[in-house]
Amino acid sequence: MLGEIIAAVTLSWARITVALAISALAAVIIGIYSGISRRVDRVVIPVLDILQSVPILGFFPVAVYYLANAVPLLGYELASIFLIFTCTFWNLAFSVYEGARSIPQSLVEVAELSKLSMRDKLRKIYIPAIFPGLVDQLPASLANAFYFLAASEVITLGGAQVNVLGIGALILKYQEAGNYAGIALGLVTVALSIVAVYLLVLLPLIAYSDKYRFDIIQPPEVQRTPLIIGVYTRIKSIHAPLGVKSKRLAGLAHRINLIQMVNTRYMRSDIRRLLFVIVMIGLLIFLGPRIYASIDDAWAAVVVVAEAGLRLGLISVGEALAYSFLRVLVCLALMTALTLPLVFIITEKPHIKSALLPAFQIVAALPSPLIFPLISRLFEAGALPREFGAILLMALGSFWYVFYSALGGFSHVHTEYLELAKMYNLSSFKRLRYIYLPFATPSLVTGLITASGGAWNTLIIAERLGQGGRIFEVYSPGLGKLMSTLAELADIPALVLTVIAMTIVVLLVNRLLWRSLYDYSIRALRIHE
Amino acid sequence: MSSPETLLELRNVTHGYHMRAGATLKIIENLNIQVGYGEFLGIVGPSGCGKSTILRIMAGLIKPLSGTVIFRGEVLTGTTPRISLMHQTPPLLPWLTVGENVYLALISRSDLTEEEKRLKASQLIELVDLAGYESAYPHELSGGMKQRVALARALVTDPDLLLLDEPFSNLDPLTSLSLSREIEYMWLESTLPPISVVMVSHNIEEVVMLSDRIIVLGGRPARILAEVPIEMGRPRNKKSEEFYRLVDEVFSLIS
Repeated sequence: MLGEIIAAVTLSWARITVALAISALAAVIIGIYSGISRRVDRVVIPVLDILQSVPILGFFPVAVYYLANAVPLLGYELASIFLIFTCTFWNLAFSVYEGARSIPQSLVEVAELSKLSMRDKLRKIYIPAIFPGLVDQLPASLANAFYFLAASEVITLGGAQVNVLGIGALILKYQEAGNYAGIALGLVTVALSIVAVYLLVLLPLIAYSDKYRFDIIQPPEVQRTPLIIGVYTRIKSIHAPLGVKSKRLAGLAHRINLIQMVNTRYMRSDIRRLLFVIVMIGLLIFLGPRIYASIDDAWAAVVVVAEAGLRLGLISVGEALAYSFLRVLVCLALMTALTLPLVFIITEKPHIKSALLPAFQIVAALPSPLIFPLISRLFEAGALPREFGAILLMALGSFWYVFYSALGGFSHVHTEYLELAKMYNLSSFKRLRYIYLPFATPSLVTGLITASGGAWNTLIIAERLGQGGRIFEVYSPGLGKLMSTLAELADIPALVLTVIAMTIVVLLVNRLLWRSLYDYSIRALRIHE
Repeated sequence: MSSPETLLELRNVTHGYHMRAGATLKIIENLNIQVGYGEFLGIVGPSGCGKSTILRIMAGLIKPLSGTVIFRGEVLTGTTPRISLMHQTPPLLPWLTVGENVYLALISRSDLTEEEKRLKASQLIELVDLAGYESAYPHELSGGMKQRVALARALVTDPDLLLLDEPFSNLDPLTSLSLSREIEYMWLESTLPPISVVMVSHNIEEVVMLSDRIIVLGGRPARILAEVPIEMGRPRNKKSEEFYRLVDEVFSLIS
């Protein structure tokens, strides 16, 4: 049993490593390019913003369907790499982008004055500038990757259970066989492997990246705590999707671009452009026939999807959306209510912090789909109401975003303000109200945005959990339930329609609700920087 | 040991931080400082020598690893409204108005009525020449005005001792001159708080300008290198020979 578990865990890690490497590489290239070129920036950032709002799990059945058909043997592997790529790429790309844009103008000027080549600029300026941010995102990306990998193995989508060797699939198998010792052993092995990866890979990387950190002044207390705690306390909130920091740096990219135009090495960049074109042409030749065939079919596809919409009925889709939206809001509200007191206590009591955070890190990094088999057991026994279970499943996929963004916001409150609170003898409530909450609000809202995305993403599992032939669904309508049902019926046009509907809703909610909430909080708090 | 004229005293104070390997990095060691009743004490030293830490120990914000702080004849165990600290960069809460920021210092006081608190806050705002700015937000103020708000907030509690942590270092010369004059005035004026002031700075001129006595710190861990009494009449003239001589003297002690 142990050998089987180790093999499965190793295979799962192999998939994650490959996918994460591809994802990081793409993030570095695209992030740096959009960070330093305004033209690229104008196109890429909005596109990334839209793409990151696509509910990935909803996409998964479609991806598996196409990739499994296109590449018979490796179809699932490709689909899972694709899935991991789509769930880890965005935060990495945005952090690289932020890093590239945060390079001080003086540094760029020095580089120009000393006529650094593009290669040296990359090595001496861009890589150091993006490295800490990228490394900071890695733990979250890793956890994300494992989450979706496990989800892809554990949940049933599109009728056929994917039959692969991986830890998620193995735990599901054990659950069906009633082998709880196996489940426990599997979970422990995963936890240990995660700890090992943290200690052997991430921590050295973070320690190394400290070389490039100039802006972080560690308060003396941190030195007392073990190194592992540093990992998450340093997670910076991702403001990039909202373009908040960018305002200050808006002029910078433009100037860099101008400098590039007058650069004497302009010719060499032409060669690079030529190479790019050659690669694109190669891709076109390779994919051309397929795309041509697709274009031929494109109109037909649009018609089919539209027909699916009529078939489903706009009202029923709208109703499902409304229910799901409500669920997401309730889930976010509950998580916030739980997080704030918890984070407040943790921030104020360093010894609790040093005791709890390492444990939290491991729990946060554990892919929660691995315990879905146990949750479905609770459903089966009638111990967990379906609606509450749906919210719980959503929270499992998004709680840590809220928690760590709140924690980040709370722990970035400057010491001077805490000294004020101490000098003026402010009560816990007043400290929370006058100091912690206002300071943490932007970070918390950013976390809620991410969590909201996570919750929407998880809907397809949360509202209709399918495992090994058994299905547990909420009684009221829901978009996730609808999508899951359509995936099972292999009704691809209707599924595409619901994915599009969900993407639009998520985008609208981001733009209309979250962004205005963020802007409002910045305005109300008068944070001008 | 402390004479009746002593307002606050550090006795054998040692402080430092625990390092990872269980060792302690000492910042200050066996420090004895007395702050006299009505005294303006200046503390100078190279940056990073623990000046700010000393102020925080005096304020009761940091408990030293060993040694005691005696305030008005009693051991100081925590913060008290009788001791105020003014930071280098004034930590004003951006979401509160000038009035609310000053009021914050009194918000937890149960010995004052709401009405008294408001009255005190507006009196202090007037005293620091910010009358009319009560409902302005910090981001609408200049650096000097922000520092004035911080001064009002530090004085609104009627402290006996005002601790100044590099109060002028972020201000332009003109603003810092007028603010230092104001602090000097409030300290000299016996009807206004504070009774004594401790100012930490690495700007020797401003310390000589204001202090009755200067303590020169140096070394690692920091210890007292010298004490220089400044027996010059007030207001002091920066261009006088005596002033130059004193600045030179303190400067040579540091370097």
